[in-house]
Formats: sequence, C-alpha cells, structure tokens
Amino acid sequence: MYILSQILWTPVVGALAILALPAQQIRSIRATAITSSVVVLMLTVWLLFHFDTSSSAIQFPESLPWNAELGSYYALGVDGFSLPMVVLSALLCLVAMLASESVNTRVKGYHFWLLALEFGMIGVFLAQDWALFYVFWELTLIPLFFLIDQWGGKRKHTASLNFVLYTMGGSVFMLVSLLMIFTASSEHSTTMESMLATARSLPREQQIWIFLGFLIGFGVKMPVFPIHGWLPLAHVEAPSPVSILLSGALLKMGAYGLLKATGMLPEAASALQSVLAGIALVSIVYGALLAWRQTDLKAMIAYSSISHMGVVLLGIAALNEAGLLGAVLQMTAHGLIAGALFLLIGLLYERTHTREISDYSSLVQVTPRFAFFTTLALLASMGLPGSAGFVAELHAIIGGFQSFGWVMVFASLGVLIGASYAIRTAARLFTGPMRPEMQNVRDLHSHELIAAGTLAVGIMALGLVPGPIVELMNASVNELSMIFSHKNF
Amino acid sequence: MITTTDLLALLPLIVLSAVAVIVMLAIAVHRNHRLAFLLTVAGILISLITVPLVSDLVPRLITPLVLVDRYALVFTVMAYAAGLVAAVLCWEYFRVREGHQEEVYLLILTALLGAGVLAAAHHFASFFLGLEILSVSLFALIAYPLREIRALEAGIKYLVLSGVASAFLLFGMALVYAETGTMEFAVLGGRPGTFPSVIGTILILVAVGFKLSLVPFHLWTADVYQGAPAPITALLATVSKGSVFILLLRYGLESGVFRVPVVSVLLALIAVVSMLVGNFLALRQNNVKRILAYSSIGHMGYLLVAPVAANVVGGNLAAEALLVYLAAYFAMTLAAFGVVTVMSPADREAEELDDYTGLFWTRPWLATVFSVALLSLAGIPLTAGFIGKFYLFAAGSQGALWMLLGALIIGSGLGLYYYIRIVFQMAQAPAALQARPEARPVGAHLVLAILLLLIFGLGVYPAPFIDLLHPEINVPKQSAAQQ
Repeated sequence: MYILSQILWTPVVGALAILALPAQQIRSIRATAITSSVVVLMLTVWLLFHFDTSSSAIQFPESLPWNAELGSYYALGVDGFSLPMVVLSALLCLVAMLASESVNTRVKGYHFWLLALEFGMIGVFLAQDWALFYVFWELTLIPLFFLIDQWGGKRKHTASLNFVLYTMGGSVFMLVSLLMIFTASSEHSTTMESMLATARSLPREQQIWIFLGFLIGFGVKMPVFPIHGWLPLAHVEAPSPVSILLSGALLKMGAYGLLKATGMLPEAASALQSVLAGIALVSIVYGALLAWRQTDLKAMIAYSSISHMGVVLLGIAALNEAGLLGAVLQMTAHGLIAGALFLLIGLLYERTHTREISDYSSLVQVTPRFAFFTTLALLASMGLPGSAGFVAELHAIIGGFQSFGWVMVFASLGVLIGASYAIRTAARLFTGPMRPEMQNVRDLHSHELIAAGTLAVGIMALGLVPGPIVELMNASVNELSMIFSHKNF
Repeated sequence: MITTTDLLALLPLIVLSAVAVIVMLAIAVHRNHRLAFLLTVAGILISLITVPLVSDLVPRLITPLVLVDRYALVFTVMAYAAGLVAAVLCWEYFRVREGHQEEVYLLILTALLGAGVLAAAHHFASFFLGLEILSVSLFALIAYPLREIRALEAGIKYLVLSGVASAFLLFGMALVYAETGTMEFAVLGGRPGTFPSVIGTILILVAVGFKLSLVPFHLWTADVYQGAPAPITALLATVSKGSVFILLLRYGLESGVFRVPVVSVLLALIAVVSMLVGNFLALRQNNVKRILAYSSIGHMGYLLVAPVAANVVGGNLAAEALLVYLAAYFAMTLAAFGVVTVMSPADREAEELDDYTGLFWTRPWLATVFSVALLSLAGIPLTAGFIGKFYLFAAGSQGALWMLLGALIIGSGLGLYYYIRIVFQMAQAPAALQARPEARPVGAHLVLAILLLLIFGLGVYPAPFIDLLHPEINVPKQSAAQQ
C-alpha cells in the first residue's frame, strides 16, 4: 500500500513531469502542478478517514534501511500531531497553486520549485527518523530560496539571503543537538523511537543543553522573539502564493519540531518551562505591537504571525493537556487563517498594486466577496468566538493559566492588541470615501473563490465544530501530557 | 631482501613511474599534446587497475621505508582518480592556450607518484622523498604558464616557502633521530622522546602545517591558489594536501606523537585557529579562487579533528573519518575547480565573482554542478560534505573535543555565508544574456557529471562508499599499553 510514500512522492512525480514539458506550454504546466497537488490532497483526506483516532501510536508506518552505517532509516509514519499538519500542507499547497495564476515569468521553474517545496514540507511531517527529518528540513530551503529570490518583490535578494542564512544557522544548532543524542545512543540508530529512548535517559544538564539547541533550531523557523528577524522581510518580499505556504505551513515545521523535542527531553522542557513561557509572552505582545504599527497589509499579517506562533509556544510551555491541545489546534488554525489572509492580500495586490491599508477604503462596495473573506479571516485571526482562532487561543491560554496563573494577563494583552489592528483593518474595508482608482477592481472569481472559500469553510468548521479535529489530536496530546502530569521522566 | 610479492605490492607505484618515463620519452620523440594526454590517462587508469590486484597482498612492509596497507591503497586510488580529473581539466584548459603543454602531464604523474609514496611512507626517508617529489612537481606546475606574471609569482612564492618548510622538516627529523636513533615511525613509538625530540616533532609539524596551509602557516595559500592555473590549483588542493594529511595521521599514530601533551594541545589550537581564521578571511573575498583558498584553510582545520581525536577514539575511527572527509573534499573541490576551469576563456581565468553572475541562466549545467559542490563544501545534507562533517563530528564528540567542535560549528556557519553568496550570484538574473560560448569540452563535462554523482552518491546513500573507504590501518600495540 505505502500510502505515505505515495503522498510523499507524488509531488516529485509532478515536478519531474513538469521538467519534461516544454517551457512554453504554460497551461499544461499549471494543469500538471494542480493535478499532482489535488492527488496529494485526496490521498491525505483518505488518510484522515482511515486514521485510528483512539491510538497515539505511529500509524501507517513504513521503514526501509537507508544508511546502515549511521543506523538511519527511510521511516515514515503519522500520529495525531503530524496528520493535521500533513493535511494542512497539502491543502495550502493546492491553494497556493490555484493562486499562482499571476505568475507569468519562468512558469516552469516556478511550479517545479513549488512542487519541490511541497515534497520537502510533507517529508518533514511524515519522517519518523531524525536523519530523514533533517534532510527534508534542509530540503525545503532550496526551493524557497529560489522562489523568493527569483519571483519575489523589490528586496527579494536580501530577503532570500536573510531567510536562508537564518534558517541554516539555526539548523546547525539543531543538528548539533541531534548528534549529541546520536553519539550518546547505544543502538546507534537515528530513528525517532530510538533517539527518544536515548534522549530521555540522558542526565538532566545534558538534556537542557540539547533542548536549547533545538529551541534555537526550531525557534528560528517558528519564529520566536529574538530570532524572528528573517520573517517580515521574507513574507513581504515572497510572491504571495509562497507567503501562503511560508506562513501557513512552513512556520508549523518549527512548532512541530519543538513538540517532538519536548517529548524527547521532558526533563529539560519542564526545567525550562518558565523560559519558554517568557519567550512566548514576549513574542505574543511584541509581535502584536509590531503588527499594530504596520501600514503595509502584508507586513502586518507577517508580524501578526510572530504573535500567533507565540500562542503555540505558550501552549507547549504550559506542558499540560489543555495547553498542548491549544498549541496543536493553533498550529492548524493559524495555518488556515494566515493562509487565507496572505491569499486575499496577494490577490488584492495584483489588482490594486498597493498594500497600504489606507488605500483600501470602502472596498466592500466594489468587491463584496473580497471584503467578506478578508473580514472573516481578520476576525478569526483576532480570535472571534465561533472561528478557529478562538478555540485554539482559548485552549492555549487556559493551559497557560493552569501552569502560570496571573501572568497570562500579558497573553490577553497581546490578544487585545491583535483585536485592535484586525478591527482597524476591517473597518477600513467598509468605511471611508470611495477611491476612484479602486472603482475597477475585479472581485474574486472562479478558482480564487474556491481557494478562499475552502479556507474560510475550514476556519469556520474548526471554530463551530472543533470536536472531530480535537478527537484526531487527542490521543497524541494525551500521551505527551501524561509524561508531564506524572513527572515520570 | 625484496621479494617478488613485495614488488607486486608496489605495483601501483611502479606502473605509475613507468608511465611517467613513457610519457617523457613520448614527448621527446614526438611532441603532441593529444598523445601525451592520452598516454597519461591510460597510464593512470592502468595504475588504478593494479590497485585491486594488490589489495590481497596487503598489509605488507617493504623494506623499512614503505608500508603498503589498505589505508595507503585507499588514498592512492583517491589521489590517482584526482590526478585523472586534473589531467582531463588540464587538457581542456591548456588546449586553447599557447606554448608547449605536454610536460604538464608528466609533472602531474610525478606529483601523483610523490603522493603515492607519502601515503605509504613509514620512515622519515620515504616521508621526505615523497614530499619532495610532490613539491618539486608542484613548483613547476604552478608556474607552468611561463608568460603569466601571477603564475610565476605564485610559483616562486610556493618554492621559497616550501623550501623553508623542507628545511624545518629536515632539521626536525635530525633532532628526532639524534635522540632516538631511528627514523622508522613504528620504532619511534617505542622510544618516548624528551625535550629535543619534542622540539624536533614540533618542527616536523610546522613543515606539515605549511603543506596543509594551516594557520599560522597559511600565508601562501590565497596567492598560490589564485596564481596557479585552475586545474593545477585543483591538484594542489586535493592531492598535495590529502597525501600530507594521510601521512600526518600515520606518523602520529605509529610514532605516538599525538600522545605527547604539548603536541596534541598545539594541534588542537592550530585546528581551532585554522577553522576560524580561514572562514573569516573567506568572508571578505570577491575572487572565487581566493574564497576557495581560504575555505580550504578552514577545511584543513576541520580535518585536523580526526588526528586530534585519534588519541581517544583510536586510529581506526580517526582514519575512517579522515578518509571519508577527504573523499568528499576531493570530489567537491575538484568539481568546484573543474567549473572554474571550464568557465575560463582562453585569455584569462573566470575567477571574479562577477564572472558568475546569472550562470543559472547562461550555463545552467555548470551552475548546477558549482552550486552542488559549494553546498557540499558548506556541509548541506544529501551531499558528500555533510557525511564527511558528520564523521568528523562523531569522532570529535566521542573524543569529547568540545572546543574543536564548537569551532567547527562556527566555521560551518560562517562558511554557509560565503558559499551561498556565490550560489546567490549565480542565481541572479544576468544584465544581458551573453551569446552562448561555442566551446563544448565534452571530457570536462563528463568528469563534472561523475563528480556530481559522487557528491550525491556519498551524500544520499553512503553505505557502499564507506565500505570501500574502510581503512584497516595498522595501529601499533604499544599505544594501548602506554595509555
């Protein structure tokens, strides 16, 4: 069956098919790219229905020896943490493909790299071997580098270089941590299972060092407060379909890795709990403040990502069931919301060639669908009850409250600031004088509507009926939180 | 007494010497570039074929001078293969240039001979002989384009400094011999030296440090790399440095030098400083050859982790780490200089960063090879460079050399920056699309393709390669007894 391998390698097949096509056949290149991402999405949906939600074990496992000398395996599998991320990545990739209509220079290369990125991203979430994980982790950089550097905005060169250097610099630390665990292991195997056993048996002090390495490596990607410098530039300069993926799925790789690290090094995680919470709170408030100060809509969303990923970190730092559940929910919720926002802004920018919030007055009269979806996504991003953002943030903050008490006031402050800029932007869309230059803006149509609609449905579904997805994650979240509630590391 | 079996075991060296003589005679009889080139390639290939034949006879000590073992043979294969690549690159490079080009191949052959002797050296005499055969060939090779002032300058620079290093080496050997009364590495191990012989050892290491361009003996590196013709730089960077490293590890293990506290501390310091200084200096360069020169200083620093760790982790793991890293380093360095060679037009070398602007658009194949080679030098996973670094890291962390590993990490981080800068330059859209260059050097492209496959092969599925590289070095018994 090898369903996971099918999911993983379908984008590669698509990418190779695109390579074989002549560069002039733009239509068939697009069709190939979209077809392969539809296939991936359908396979992941199949996975969703056949996933056993009562078990926290790795499901659909596959394993082949890869490098006997290092004890590494081509091992794939999904659990309650990774499955939502796989589905999210597949969905956002399709959305990004649909939104790529406006890319008309070097279409072949663009779609090739986009599929390569999908391969790397899904690989990160499927890998059950740290060596494989690391390879996929680094693999995502190469397509992203080219996508930003070749198809990006005005400062694309600076942005792509910054992005690659930041992430690679961070991943060196991750690698060192992995190697420290590897050299300590008696089995000399890099499978996640064996590394987990080794890591948990390490002395406390060593665990803390290793965890700090992971924190830097994954923190750069998430990103968290002091190491977020690459994010605004990369998000703003990237072509908007790539921003969707960058913010929607790639940031989640950092959070996902950190969750794994927490499971591997529970002793270190609880020793550093307050540090993590501190970083999370600073990220939430600082990110929100920066977002509030932006006049460029894309930059605003980019900064708000820092704030929202801070919520994920807060949930992880809480180290209890509610917090962890909140973190995982927020990963999915933010993926959908940020994806939707970047999609809409990208499409809007193509039409208006401006991203200044103040230029958009009374858009609702010209483009009601735009205004509707943007408002929905903005409200969800501020955590309006009934939307995905609310469920996730609520869980994370409850978890934080259980662990840290009154300090959570700061998190609420961040949410408050978030609300203020979201409402301010939404207000801009509905009020103000009609701009003459905005008269002829086209509204969303056909596949753009499908893309935006899918994400909007996802956001609302997650908010109104969170039951199924919570059930999906519950077993894995429970297992992880059990370690901390019993303190039996 | 030398038996037939001994001679058989020496076959890779003997065949190569014979080829050198044949090429020399061929040049004397009929001066023809193509003939000299084909003879050389055939000769190196035949010498390579003899290696599997003799691999059953090893390890074998032939006179006290030479020890042919798997460790030596593995490196000999690597060096000969590198020589082959250099010869092909020279063919493409010198074909379009003026002057008598045939002797280049002769000199490459003698340089390989020197490297082969060094790899098997087991005695100060063979150590010195091998090193001098190698160095003298290199002087001539570096200054081969006689009309080019920079090549001449580089040749003279290398000649003078190399001469000084040889003087240090001889004096060091004399000091060691004066006290211990032996020049055999293995016998030295049984006679722990006192003050004069430690000084002698340090002098020997100074000479070795010069050849490896370790800080603080690195001053020649950038100028010589820049001045020498690109294919010769490739040879210098790989064969010359590699063979000296192979010798250093054998000498250190057998004579027990690494166990002398002063020496191991000095080596560790040199390693740290080389990694940092090399990488820092590379940051500010705008010349591709100089970037590669400074980065090679850093790489030599990384490689020193293996000998320093050898004390704790044992000779076998250290030798394996060394060989794996060297194999990776050979492939990626040759690929990088190969691209520089193919890029160079007939009248100059493509060494400025600007020459590479937009290479992805004008010559995508070369740009791909160059990017892979650079990313591998930076140590990105799925490339050979990563596996090499992994081995060094494993050796270092088993030896608990945290300071060295810290420098390795910082060095790799810095390295990323300047390697990616070149890739970045190549990815930028060119200002104006130049006409496609008409020259189509097939041989060089074939070589680059093979190197690319090797870099990926070693990076993606290293197991079979590593089996081949397994050193089986002879580690003397007394090292365990003395610890």
